[in-house]
Amino acid sequence: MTLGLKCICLLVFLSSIYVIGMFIFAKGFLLKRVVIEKNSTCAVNFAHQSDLHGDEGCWMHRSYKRAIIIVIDAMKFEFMRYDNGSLHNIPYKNKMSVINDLLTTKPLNSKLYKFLADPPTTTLQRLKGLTTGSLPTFVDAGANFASSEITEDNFIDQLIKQGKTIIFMGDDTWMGLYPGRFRRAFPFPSFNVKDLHTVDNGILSNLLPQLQKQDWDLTIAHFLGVDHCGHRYGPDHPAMAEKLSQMNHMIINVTKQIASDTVLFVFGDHGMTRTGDHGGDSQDELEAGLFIYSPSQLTSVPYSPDRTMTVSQKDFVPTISLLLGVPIPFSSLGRIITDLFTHCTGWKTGSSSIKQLFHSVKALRLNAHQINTYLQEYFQHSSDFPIQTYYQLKSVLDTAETELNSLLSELVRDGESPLMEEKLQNLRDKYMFYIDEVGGTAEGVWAQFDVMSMCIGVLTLFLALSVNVYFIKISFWWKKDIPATVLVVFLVSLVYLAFAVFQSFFIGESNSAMMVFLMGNCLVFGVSLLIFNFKGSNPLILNNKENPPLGFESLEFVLAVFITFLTFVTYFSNSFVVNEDSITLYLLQSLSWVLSFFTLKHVVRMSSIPVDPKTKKQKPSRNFDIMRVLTHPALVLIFLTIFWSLFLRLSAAFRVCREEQHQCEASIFLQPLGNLNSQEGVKNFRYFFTLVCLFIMVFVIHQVMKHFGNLNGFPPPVLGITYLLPLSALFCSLHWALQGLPQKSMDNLPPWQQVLLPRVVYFLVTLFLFLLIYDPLCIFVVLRSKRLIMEDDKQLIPNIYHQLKENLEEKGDKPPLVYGLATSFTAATVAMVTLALVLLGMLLGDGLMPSLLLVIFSVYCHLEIITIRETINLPVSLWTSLVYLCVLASVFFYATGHQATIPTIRWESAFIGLHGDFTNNVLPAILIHLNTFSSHVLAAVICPLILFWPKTGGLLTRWVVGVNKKDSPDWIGDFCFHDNKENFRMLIFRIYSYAFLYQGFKVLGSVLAAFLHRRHLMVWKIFAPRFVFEAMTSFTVYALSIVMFMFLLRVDSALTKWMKNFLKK
Amino acid sequence: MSAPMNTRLPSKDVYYFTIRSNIYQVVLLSLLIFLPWNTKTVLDIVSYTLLSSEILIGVILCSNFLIGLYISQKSNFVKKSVSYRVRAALKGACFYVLAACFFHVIAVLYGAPFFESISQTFHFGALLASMAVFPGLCLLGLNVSSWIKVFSLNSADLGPESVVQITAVSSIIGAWLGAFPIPLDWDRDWQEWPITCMVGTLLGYMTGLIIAALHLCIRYNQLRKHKVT
Repeated sequence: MTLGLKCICLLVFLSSIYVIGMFIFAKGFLLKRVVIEKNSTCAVNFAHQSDLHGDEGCWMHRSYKRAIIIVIDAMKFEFMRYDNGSLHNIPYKNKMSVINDLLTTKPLNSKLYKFLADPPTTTLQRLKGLTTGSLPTFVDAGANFASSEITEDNFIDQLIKQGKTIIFMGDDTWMGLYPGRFRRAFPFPSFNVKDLHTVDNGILSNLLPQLQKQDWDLTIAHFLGVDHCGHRYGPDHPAMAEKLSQMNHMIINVTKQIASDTVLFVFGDHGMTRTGDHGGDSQDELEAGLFIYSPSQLTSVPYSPDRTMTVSQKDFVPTISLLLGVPIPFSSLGRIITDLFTHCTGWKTGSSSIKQLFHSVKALRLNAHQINTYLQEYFQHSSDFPIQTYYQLKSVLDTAETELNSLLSELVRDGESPLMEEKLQNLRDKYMFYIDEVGGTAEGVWAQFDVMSMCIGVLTLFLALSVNVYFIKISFWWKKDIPATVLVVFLVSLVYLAFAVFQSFFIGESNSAMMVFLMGNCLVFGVSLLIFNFKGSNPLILNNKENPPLGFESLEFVLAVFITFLTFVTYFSNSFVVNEDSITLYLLQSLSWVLSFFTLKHVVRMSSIPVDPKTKKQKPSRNFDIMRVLTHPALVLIFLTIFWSLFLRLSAAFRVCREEQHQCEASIFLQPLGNLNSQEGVKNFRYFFTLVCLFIMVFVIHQVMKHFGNLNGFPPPVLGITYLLPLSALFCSLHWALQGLPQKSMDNLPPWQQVLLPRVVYFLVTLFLFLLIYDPLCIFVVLRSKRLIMEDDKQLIPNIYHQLKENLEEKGDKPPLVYGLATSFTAATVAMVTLALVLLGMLLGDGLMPSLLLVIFSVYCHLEIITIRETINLPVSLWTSLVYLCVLASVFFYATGHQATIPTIRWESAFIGLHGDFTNNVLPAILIHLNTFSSHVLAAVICPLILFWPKTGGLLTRWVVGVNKKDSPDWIGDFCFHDNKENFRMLIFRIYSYAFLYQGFKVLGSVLAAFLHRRHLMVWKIFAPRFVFEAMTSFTVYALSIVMFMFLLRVDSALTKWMKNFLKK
Repeated sequence: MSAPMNTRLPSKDVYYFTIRSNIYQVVLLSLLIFLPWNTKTVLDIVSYTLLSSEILIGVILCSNFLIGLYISQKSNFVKKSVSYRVRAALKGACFYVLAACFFHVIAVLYGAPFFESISQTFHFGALLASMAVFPGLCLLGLNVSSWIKVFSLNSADLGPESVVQITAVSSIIGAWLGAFPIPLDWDRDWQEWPITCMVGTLLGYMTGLIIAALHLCIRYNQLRKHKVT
């Protein structure tokens, strides 16, 4: 096995330890509640099979024969409520007029509630909650688009058991949750957020005909238009008004059709934020609306507009179950909506308020007993519910039961009396208290963590970190080959990993987890012993001749370590995590100013020492030359720094706000271009600004490559840079122009026209990638006889490989000219960066092109500074440069319109070049991932440049230092890496190990923070998403690092091959 | 920052004066900051940030100016004409304003708002400049080479020059550390930009003065011993 392959193996091994550690932790941290797969049955000991007065039905006689459930995704309470006072022309206000009409004309037949969702407010979670009545957990939130069948008891299954027929139409998420349950189903794809009408129109054309058929007991219709409209335009948009009016019309039609034995539920599964997104747990997202209507009397309590009741979404399940006369699902924790049980025709409740109350208490009692049965069952499976609380609650229930019995006998004995009403109310409150208490306690407990798994996960991460440090250590002292001790570490960790994985994924809770834990401790201890033992004893480390001075003692290095420490510590404070965007910028600015301050210090020292004080005094006296002042090294450096820092600061304009940042305004660059219709000027300005940025980017890359002399002749990557790059930029801008069209005209285009342009870009990028892998060298050979022609072109700087020249001159021949040999590695990496830029630029969308340009500029400034430092023999340590790049990646993670929260994921990137309904979710997932972690992708690709760029001499060194390495006769550029293959591999290996280490620290920080704050109020809002995002970031960094390592090896081997051929000639 | 070998020693008078002036400044500043803290009087930096920072700037400028005046008289310079002195003072003032603007720009680059609270940011810049740059202007003068000597070559003498070096660095570090409490969600009045940074700068400056005094004491005694032996 060659050295390069071995290095890749080590990196793969290292990243797999990290990944396994994260998975083990995640397994313990993102745990699901224990699901009890037991179903409620009709025969229970707390309810009579037959009611004295009612019709058929389990537990309780049913009030309605049929039900229609209309789910309008993201139907906020705000949309449903009629507001008389509002004179403002808010698009979404008062559009659902039918609700208000029915409420005022038939107050006993209709009800409006505020319908509180349990977070997370994603549709899949909500549907689970709305059918099973149980509490959601964090894990499922991520699996929103890969829904799987519900196995927990739910009212759909209960209905089917009672022989009822269900018809479904709308969002196809239901089909994943309840396959094979519906007699007739009309599912429509839900993922295409851009599509406002397909699902809704599909339902509308089926809904009324199906309702007329009368062969159903339950009809479910799930509309998506409102939600999609919110995602697309936000609530404050005319399109929303249009959509809501359509819904209004639909409800009018349905209420006209509806028979008197039918009850209609219209509700939203969640609300939406002011920007139209959802997923979190802010008040805006949680408050949906619930409207209930039936032509026959629904309740004895008339609706009053001043006092809207709030019910929880899990309350829906017991309510509809008892209304339709089926058992409440086994694990439901909801409380029935008591108002709906105050009327009963069989009991003639119309006259007596005691009867109304008694009827609802009976329903509540059933509900309480159902929950009690569930709790009893739950205790047999898990011990996480506090037993003390349970017994207290149980006693409440028991007293209520005895009170009810005595009350019953009293009722039979004495008849109704006013005192009874008070007693009944008291009883009702007791039952309600019981149910609410159980619900509250369960909510607190059910984020149950598997602490042992979490410990093992953290320990595995520690092991990964120490192995990582060990790898870095050996990269300093191996000479020709990796030492054999690696194998020992490798094997021992492998055994541990296998054991840990087996332990936490297959065995689960047991005592032997402790063993794994202890073993891991020993292992970490062993590896760290190994690390420290190598420190002084091996003479090879002290041999500094092999490696350039590292600058470990310098202040920047200390600062870089301190910044790593700070980023690690940041994760433990919720306010620091919330404001991480500003904090990373602050740290990055500090690092860049310190870097340039020390450079300035040395440059000034260098320029001041040789000058005689006497001659110096005379210089500026009379001939004040503005050019001399402006081109003074120190000033050039200061300007460079100010621009550098300005580029970084400007990036703040591209941030998106997270909910907790109160004084934050959303950036104009992040709105889709099509939404800016109202401000035509802004729209045009933004589009042309984007075009200018795109042009500058293409131009700059072209010029840099030209400067290096890598754009001569016709090797494949040169063709790529000269033709494919501008071409793909062109298609990209055309695609964005198309996006700027109003939505209506967009929708009228056939699908292939919508996806053609991005697909062309994908094709070009892939083509470029293949060309680059096929031949990564931008080298062009000109035989000497042609030299006269080339000399006219002053732009080209011929780079002569000097050793070669000497060899050939001895033979008396003129040596051939080789363009771009001295920058072959740099050019290949720059080509790769270009490729990444084009792809990511298109995925990020037009508004963020300037941000990408800022990445390039700030990275360029950094590269120039380290080049200057290398030229004045004061190299910046690799660790410092790397920390700089990594912090830059996190700064631009925020500056490309992301935040570490789930609602801010930019789902729309899944539709670039793809048209909505996909059979599998791999491709859209990759696109979203690339969009989200674009800055980390870029940083990983740019990484090797911190090695190569200083060797090429940079573009500004002559201005600052006065000399450029290029001028010296034995300058060979980054060809020196080819000369010393072992050193090259070692350096690249070290760079990526550093990147792994930094990322490892960050992951460990987020993991430990999530671990420590697992009972924190904000854990699901701040710490858990932070951990998930950090884990995803690491996967990106690990994968791309390994890919780039392979690419560089490919470049190296191509160079070797080229040399062989060249020497043969 | 290791002290270079060829340390120049100032006269005994200047040495004692420097240490004494350092201590006086620390006492004066801490009285000015901590006595009115949370009293809602004019000098309270939390409720009247701008006004109190102006007073603090004035105090620091005056004390440094006086120190500079005293030392320049002690260290037997050739007497310069009045017009030269006035011109030098004007130039110094210009440089001070420039430095304040520079620090303002840097504060914005580090994340202070672009357009809002401009006067607060400028006050912070002026405060930082009065501690990091103004002592240098008073004690080193406008001569570029002496600035280079102190800040680039690390060869400050064991007197006012090293005080200038140490206080400049420490007040900048203080300002840097001062930004850390701003994002915390404690909802205190003093978390408002730029109060923490101003206090951080002042604390950094005072620590710098103390460190410089200690540094002078220790090094001076060491070197005297060397000379004796």
